[in-house]
Amino acid sequence: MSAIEVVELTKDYGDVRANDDISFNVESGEIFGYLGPNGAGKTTTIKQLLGLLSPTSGTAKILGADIHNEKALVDKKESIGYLPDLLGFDEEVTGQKVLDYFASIRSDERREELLESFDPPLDRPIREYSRGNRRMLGLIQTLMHNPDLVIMDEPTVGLDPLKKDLLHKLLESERDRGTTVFFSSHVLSEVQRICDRVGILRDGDLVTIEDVNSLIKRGGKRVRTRLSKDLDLSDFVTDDMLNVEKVGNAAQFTYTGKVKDLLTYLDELDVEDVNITDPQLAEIFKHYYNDSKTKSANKSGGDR
Amino acid sequence: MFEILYYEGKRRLRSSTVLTILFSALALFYISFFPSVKEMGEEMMAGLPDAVIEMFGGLGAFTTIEGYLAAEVYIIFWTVFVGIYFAYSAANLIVNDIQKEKMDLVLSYPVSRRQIIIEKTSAFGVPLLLLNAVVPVAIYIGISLIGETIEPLRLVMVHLLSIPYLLVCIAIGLFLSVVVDRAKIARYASIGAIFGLYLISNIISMAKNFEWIGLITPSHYFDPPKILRQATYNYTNATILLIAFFVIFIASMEIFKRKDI
Repeated sequence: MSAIEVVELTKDYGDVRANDDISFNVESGEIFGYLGPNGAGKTTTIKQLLGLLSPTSGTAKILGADIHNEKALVDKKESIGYLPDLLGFDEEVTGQKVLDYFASIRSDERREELLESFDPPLDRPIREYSRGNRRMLGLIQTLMHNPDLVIMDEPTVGLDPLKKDLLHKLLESERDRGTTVFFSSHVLSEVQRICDRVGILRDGDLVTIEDVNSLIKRGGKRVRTRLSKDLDLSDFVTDDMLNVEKVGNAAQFTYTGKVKDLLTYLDELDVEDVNITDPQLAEIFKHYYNDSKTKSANKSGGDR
Repeated sequence: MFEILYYEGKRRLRSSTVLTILFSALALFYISFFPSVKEMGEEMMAGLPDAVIEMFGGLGAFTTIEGYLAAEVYIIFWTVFVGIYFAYSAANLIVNDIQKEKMDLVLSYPVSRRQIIIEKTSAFGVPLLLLNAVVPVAIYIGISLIGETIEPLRLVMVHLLSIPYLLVCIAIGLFLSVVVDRAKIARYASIGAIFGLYLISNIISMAKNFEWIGLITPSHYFDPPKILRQATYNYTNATILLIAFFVIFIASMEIFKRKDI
């Protein structure tokens, strides 16, 4: 069973269509990255999944509960953990009291274990908390009842690099225990690091949804090479090379063909040095982003 | 079940205690003035024609402890200021939590919107009980200290019958809290609403042709002078207020259930 099933979900605010006919599934036990720049509509999708916003049309199921059925959805929230992008707590109460309050509504079997990794000053009132401390408190309440599904909206914002790393490891171990993680982010490197699949959202449209590895694979290889002699660009470039930049006898490009063929070709050219790496998701993201921009420009042009 | 009520009730305990102490002190302060007011009032009334005395609320409006309490403590402070306190706090209840991003988190827990609004509103039971239990005792003691007497039942009844009135104030604040999108506006509107409704009920009572407008004001149904001076307890009016509370509360709940957070 899919942990999340989204079917033609649309949220129209009148002047803005924050989610436009979005459909996707998140399978149980995977880390799904929901990627897009700020304002793309990621939070709108999450809020609809949790019943905070009602969709204009379309629907979704979360752990099998229809989001239009409040009772079913409320029951399922026993097994869901949510970390919102903007965290609001009662400022005058201490972190300890906040956790006690949340624990009284839902269980907190893993509170102590989580406090070993994330350690906000629990005896101090929230108004004295730094951004990172607020985020850590939020993380503890998200995970302390050992949820089956974790929904996180920009979870690492405000965390220092060490805590970010801890969170990434924690989410991976959660996934290995069978927890489903739905994770929205505009930070590409973390999505690339921990997500199994990724959905890319732009201006309310789901542009693509793919396995992170195949997305990277399809993005070709990033190649940097130095040749023994300076060649004309036209003599050097093949059909499988994209974004070629050549200065003197050094060149870098994205290669979409087979690596074996590339090596044979470079060998013939008497190559001195070659460095082949996976492209950064950022580059692929840019590609989708630009591509869809053109598409949506055409679409709105057609509408007129 | 009831975790929200317990948490919110505990949070209200401190402000309720402060308010209770403040009101008790204020009431005692006013009571301490009564002997000189009585003396002055009696002298003044003696020289006035009946029609003028009637305008001021009749003989005894200020010169009996019951009339003095009703006018100074229960109309001004209880009906207006305590009413505003409840409406203002209720105006914050929903919209402030939404604006401060607290509602998102609570709604990600296994609680329904209905449960949230019911339990959060029920937490007003703490200030309602505390104020209505402590203030009359303080007033009774204060009255004894200045050598006056008052029938305890009248004091009990004025507080008991003020509860439906204060519940309506809560409902008005709550309604604003679910329909207005900014906490600050909801809070200001709640002050305006309670004060405005009180003024309307006062002004209208003098304009004979427009008395019906007064029927929509909650203070029309809560009359401290009648309770304290005449020991007239109008249960019909209290019932009307209770019905108004439930109608506005249920309307607010239905709006909240459908609201985008």
